[in-house]
Amino acid sequence: MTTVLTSSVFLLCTLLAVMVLGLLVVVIRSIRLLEERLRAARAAPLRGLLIELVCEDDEEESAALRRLTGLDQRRWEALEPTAAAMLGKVTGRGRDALVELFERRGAVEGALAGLRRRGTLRRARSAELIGELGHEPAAPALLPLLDSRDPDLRAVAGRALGRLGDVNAVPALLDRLDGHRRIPPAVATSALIRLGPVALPAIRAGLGHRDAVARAVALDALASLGDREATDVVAGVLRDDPSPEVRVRAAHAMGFLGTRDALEPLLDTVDPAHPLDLRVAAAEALGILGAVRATPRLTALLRDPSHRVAAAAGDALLRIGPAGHLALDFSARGADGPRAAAYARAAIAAGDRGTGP
Amino acid sequence: MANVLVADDDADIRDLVTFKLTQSGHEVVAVEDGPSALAAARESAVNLVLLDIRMPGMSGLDVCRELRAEPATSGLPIILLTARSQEGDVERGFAAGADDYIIKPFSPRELASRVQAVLGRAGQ
Amino acid sequence: MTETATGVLRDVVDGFFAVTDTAILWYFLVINSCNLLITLLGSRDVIRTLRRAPVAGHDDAAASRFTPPISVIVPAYNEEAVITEAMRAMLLLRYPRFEIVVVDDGSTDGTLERLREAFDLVEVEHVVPREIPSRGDVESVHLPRTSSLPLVVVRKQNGGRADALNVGIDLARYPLVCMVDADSLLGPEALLSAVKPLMDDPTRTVGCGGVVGIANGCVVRAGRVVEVRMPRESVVRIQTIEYLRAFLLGRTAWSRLGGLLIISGAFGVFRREAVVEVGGLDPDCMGEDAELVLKLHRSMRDRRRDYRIVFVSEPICWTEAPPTARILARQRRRWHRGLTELLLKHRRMIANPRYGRIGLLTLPYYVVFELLAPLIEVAGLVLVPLGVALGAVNVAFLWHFLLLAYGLAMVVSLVAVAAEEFAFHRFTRWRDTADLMVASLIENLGYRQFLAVAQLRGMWDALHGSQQDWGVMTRKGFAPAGSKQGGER
Repeated sequence: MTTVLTSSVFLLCTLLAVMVLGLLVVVIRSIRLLEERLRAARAAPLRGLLIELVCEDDEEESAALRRLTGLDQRRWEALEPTAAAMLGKVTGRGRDALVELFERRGAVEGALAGLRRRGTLRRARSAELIGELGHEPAAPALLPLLDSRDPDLRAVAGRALGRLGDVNAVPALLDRLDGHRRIPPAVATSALIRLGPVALPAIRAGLGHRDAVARAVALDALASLGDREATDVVAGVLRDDPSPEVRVRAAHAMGFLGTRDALEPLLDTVDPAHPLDLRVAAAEALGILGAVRATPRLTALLRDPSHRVAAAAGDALLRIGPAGHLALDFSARGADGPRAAAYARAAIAAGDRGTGP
Repeated sequence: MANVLVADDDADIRDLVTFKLTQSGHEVVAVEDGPSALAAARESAVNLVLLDIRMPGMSGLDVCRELRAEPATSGLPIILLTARSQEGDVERGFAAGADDYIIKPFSPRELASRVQAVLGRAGQ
Repeated sequence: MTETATGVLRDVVDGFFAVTDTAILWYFLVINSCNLLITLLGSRDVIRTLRRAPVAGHDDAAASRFTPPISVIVPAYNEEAVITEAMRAMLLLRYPRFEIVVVDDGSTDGTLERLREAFDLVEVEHVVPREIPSRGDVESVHLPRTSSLPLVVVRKQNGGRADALNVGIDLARYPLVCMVDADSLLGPEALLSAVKPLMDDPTRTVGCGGVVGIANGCVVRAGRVVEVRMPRESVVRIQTIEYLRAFLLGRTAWSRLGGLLIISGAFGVFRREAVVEVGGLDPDCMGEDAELVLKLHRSMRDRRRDYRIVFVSEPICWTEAPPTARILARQRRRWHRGLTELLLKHRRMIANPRYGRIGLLTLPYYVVFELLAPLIEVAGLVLVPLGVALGAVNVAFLWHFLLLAYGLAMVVSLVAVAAEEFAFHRFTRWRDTADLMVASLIENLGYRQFLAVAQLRGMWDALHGSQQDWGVMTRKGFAPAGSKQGGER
């Protein structure tokens, strides 16, 4: 009797669960479709106005701006995602008009309030919008988000800080590359680069950071911003930094900085006494630097017992231009032995097809 | 004024470009993928083509190459729309025979003047 | 025979059936509860990731010079029908810097010729680094003659899928390698999604797998899925729900638990250096993709490195699934053989605290609930009805068995459908969602039992397979449509 009872209870529970889940799927789907349709219906007639705002001049532009500013809240909410998406697609005066619209609609205040609200997604969206609008005074409000428990939120805050142009963010970003609550190094690098030349002194100071990742990020940013004044400091890092990875970045950075002073330190670094990764990086950097004077040394490296060094030397010669090509042709004919010839020919083959570095 | 063909899979970009160029007095046809761009360029009397590089179906580069290979369209001015820092796109674009390129995100005003300049060079 | 002897025999038989049948019942209760937990955990994670996708910063990565370049390795054996279109689509991926290395593994059809015509290839000089040992020698390397498309085509002697991948990884120029099947259809953001964990935690993450969806039935234009639809054949429909539950939600959950064991051969990104360190893929192993992941876990743990192998749940890759029951049975037989061999080869890691969560959680789970599941299932299907027939257990017991083994499994699948609808809602048509729900019910009525038998045969193959059929079996890695997936359930 009892087993029959448990059986029926089991069966009933299973059937019930199946039905509830089936219904749940239908409900989720219906709600989503309905919301989408409603939003589309509200936004569609207004999208044209948004396009006018971005494309029109003077009077038409102000008219569109006035009408969009005057929209009731519900319609604006339907249109906002479209407007936010357009922010990322246009530059120049059209973008300025969009930013103006967001500001007039109180989006900045709304987003600042949103940063303090509960819910990670809401806070992340707010931070993203503040970054997109480039509202510099909001930087102090974003800094605490770098210490948030949620890794996504920290990353969003890091990216947004890069767009606001407040150089006080530099040390904060570099400090968050180590420890328990980190931000991804790539986020910090692009943020520093976005801050632009005004941030250079703060980034240079970062080369002395106790954390190796922070130093590496600072090097990448300096290289990308083309901070030629930093060549000497970077050369010091290349020579003396305790972290092998940081020295590799320093080598690449020397190549990108492209000053005459970069040549000697890089030539020293391809020496077999150094770690393999560093030698490869230095050979690559000599190619990026494009200094004709590096040609003999790079040609000698074609014979290097390490495949990676020899291949990097071939690619680098290719990048150096006519002098490098000449050296490669010479080696390809066997002037430096069969191994160098093989690497030289492989490099020439890649270069002829334009797939070289 | 000229007939301009715009091909981009992003509706926002298509509409922005269409609005801006129409405003500048051009006739604009907008399509959303490579094959339709090719068909439209062959069939209608188009004076200039704006091509997004990364479109589903067929890339803007392929469309560009095809247009260059056909006698009827080999002289057609072509401007490519390319994403910032997709390595090699600009070089590949010129190799494929494009006349100019515009980097996204773009300024609609600048786009209009670039279109004007390319049309001018082509002697329209 | 005396009456007492019959009585004793009767008692023994009754006792045997009562004990084994009860054990089977408990087994199914536990396995389905585990699966429910895993599905719920995976659903939670997937929903969270998807909701946060708008703030994930893909545009930033797409525009950055510091986004690490990727070599996409495509092994190809007799792929002349699909290779050109597949490469055209892959060359259009949204990613700042990448190259595609096609490794033609001694194809006997026109794979190389098709590529030569389409991309105007010319043979060039090359140097093989030999950082990874390989069996089939490289015969030639080809590049496009004039255009600067980042495409390299390598022609090598036949050596099997794993060997082709090894050669591709060896020749790869970039620090990250992405292994992709020639018939995988990648979404335009595939590389950006998969590289995110590797960029977010560059010092620790060594590998990242991607979701593989079923391409059958989808609207595909020029090598890209433009609309997701349910396949027409019911055998593929059921696989769709299986992929959703086990591959997408299951692997997401395992990734969250830090014990991801399988990255599908159809799409996975790894640090080249880490793959080189473990000597590449094992050409003697049937499930070479899973074996690579396990080998990475093993080598990292042995060297006490802090590392992560993860899974991204954004839908980024589609592949053709076996369209008929016969091909499906062959595929599952092969997968289960692969799983059996994998677990045998690395049996020292099982329940070994030295290997952390992989040793203590993932591997024991795979042994008990993946490897042995078909065995217990078939045993249950035979022993429970037999027990009822002999009167050892009552009919209610049979009901319990069916409900726990199959009813509960239906519930788990429906949870997966609900999660799909909430997070991805990839199916645009109502009909497809309805089909998906129906498929999750009928999966348990015949399909599972059919697969269990195929899997048992795979297990048998592994335990008795002679060394000689390696070559033959490896070749089957390239057999007709749908046999591309290297992972196991």
